[in-house]
Amino acid sequence: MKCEECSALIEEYVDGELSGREAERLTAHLALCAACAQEVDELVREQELYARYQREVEVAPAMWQQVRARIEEEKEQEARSSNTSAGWRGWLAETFGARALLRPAFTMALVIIALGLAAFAVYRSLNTRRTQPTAVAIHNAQPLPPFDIEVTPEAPEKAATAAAVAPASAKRPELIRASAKSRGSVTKQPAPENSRSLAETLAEVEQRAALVAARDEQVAGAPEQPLDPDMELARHVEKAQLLLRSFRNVRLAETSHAPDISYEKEQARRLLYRNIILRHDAAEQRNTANEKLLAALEPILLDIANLPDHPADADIRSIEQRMRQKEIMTALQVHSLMAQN
Amino acid sequence: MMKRLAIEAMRQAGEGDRAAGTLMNSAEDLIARVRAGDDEAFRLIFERYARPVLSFIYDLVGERALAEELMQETFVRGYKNLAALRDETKLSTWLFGIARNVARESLRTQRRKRSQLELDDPLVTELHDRGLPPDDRLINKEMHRAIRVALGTLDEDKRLVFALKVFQQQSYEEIAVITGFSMAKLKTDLHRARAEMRRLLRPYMEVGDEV
Repeated sequence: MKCEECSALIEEYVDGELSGREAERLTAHLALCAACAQEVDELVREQELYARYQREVEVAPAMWQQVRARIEEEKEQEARSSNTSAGWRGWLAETFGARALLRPAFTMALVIIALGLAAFAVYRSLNTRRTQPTAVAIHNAQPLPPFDIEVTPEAPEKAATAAAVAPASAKRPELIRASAKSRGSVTKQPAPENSRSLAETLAEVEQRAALVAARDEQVAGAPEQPLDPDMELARHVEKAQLLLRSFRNVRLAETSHAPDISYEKEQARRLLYRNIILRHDAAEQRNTANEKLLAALEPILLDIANLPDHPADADIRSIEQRMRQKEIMTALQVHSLMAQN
Repeated sequence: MMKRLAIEAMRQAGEGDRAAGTLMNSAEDLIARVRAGDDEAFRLIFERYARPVLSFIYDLVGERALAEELMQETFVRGYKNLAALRDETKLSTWLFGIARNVARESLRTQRRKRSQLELDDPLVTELHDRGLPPDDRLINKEMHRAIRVALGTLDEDKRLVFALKVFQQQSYEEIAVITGFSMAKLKTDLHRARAEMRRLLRPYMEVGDEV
């Protein structure tokens, strides 16, 4: 070994990072070369100096108490939010539970409501047949972003693709409902005004209400209503896709300085908690496919949640690379399509 | 001969840390217990890692009160996200990763104030002027302060890899995981950080040799 080669490897040698064979070669060189041996000596002495470095900090017992207090506080907050949810569930169980169903008056009320709903459904179905099939306009959940995406019920994939290549300037995720059966954000192109039936108007009002609810939920982060587990997972997967697309677009949007991803971080943090719960549910139900999907998504959510508000380009690229390696976007899209079918 | 023994001892120290995972109360055991709802296990994790995490954060931010606050934030975040830890054997790497993020977020807001303090610190000027080494009686106290100030003059990336390698004895692979840097970048940053620290601390190193 020559001195130049040795000199380039000395730090790794002292750090214990060289492979056995390289370390042996370097050791043999040091035995013969006083100058290189002197370099190693200096590095070792430096290391000893740094090992004596005493900082003016100490872990006081009170610090654990403070950490524990903060953890307890977090737990209480979580418990409060789940109690609220449990309270609603309790009320529903009490109202619609087995004992309630035994009460004759209650049963009669349910029968009347069911008949009313059935009659309304028949009336609506008869009126709907008279109208033409319509295109469905997908509206943006945010008031500002400038583009709408036209999607027909037959082409949900186009919507996903269009959202994926949405302009980078539209930083925040768009609320996209790519299925005709989806409840949110759908506005039918109306049939001629004079032929509109009451059922159509009601349907439009219902859809607009769903749009507002979905937008409020996205903007304000309002708590979700209790959902069917499959629906809950589908919605979670959809939100994850929106987040990952938004995250991917962030870097494209701001090239001159570190981008601000505080919104994406917040979303990732929210989704992370939901992801953990859903993953546990999937494991309990032995649904390996869902468990695997959520397990692949979780570290990516965690990584985004743990980024600084203005991450370095390398940090973003690293996460993007992992997203590509895991093919997470494809997996999420496949799940969404299967859920729709 | 002494030199080779010292190097061998350093290498073995690194391996010893890794072997500690096989003992009772290993990181895996503790994590499993915390996940099962045993908060006492998290206290043990805190006791084990609080000191290195606090030292690491202090090396990055250079302020005691802030470092203490950020160390607590690191463990609270760690507790909240423990369910998502993939490789339980990498608990310390994971915690250092969180600590790094917490410190970086804080540094973003503190940067202007910190750089002003550094410029105002008379020791920085002294270090840059390569003044005479201080009196032997004050050598330890001064040396610790000199190391702290010299660390503060490194840019953020170099300070990060230097602290992780030199003070926390993390492997290059672990540093790459914690920082997200490529191997080439971290080696270059580490080499430059060492050279810069050496230049700033040379008077103290020479006195240290004589003592």
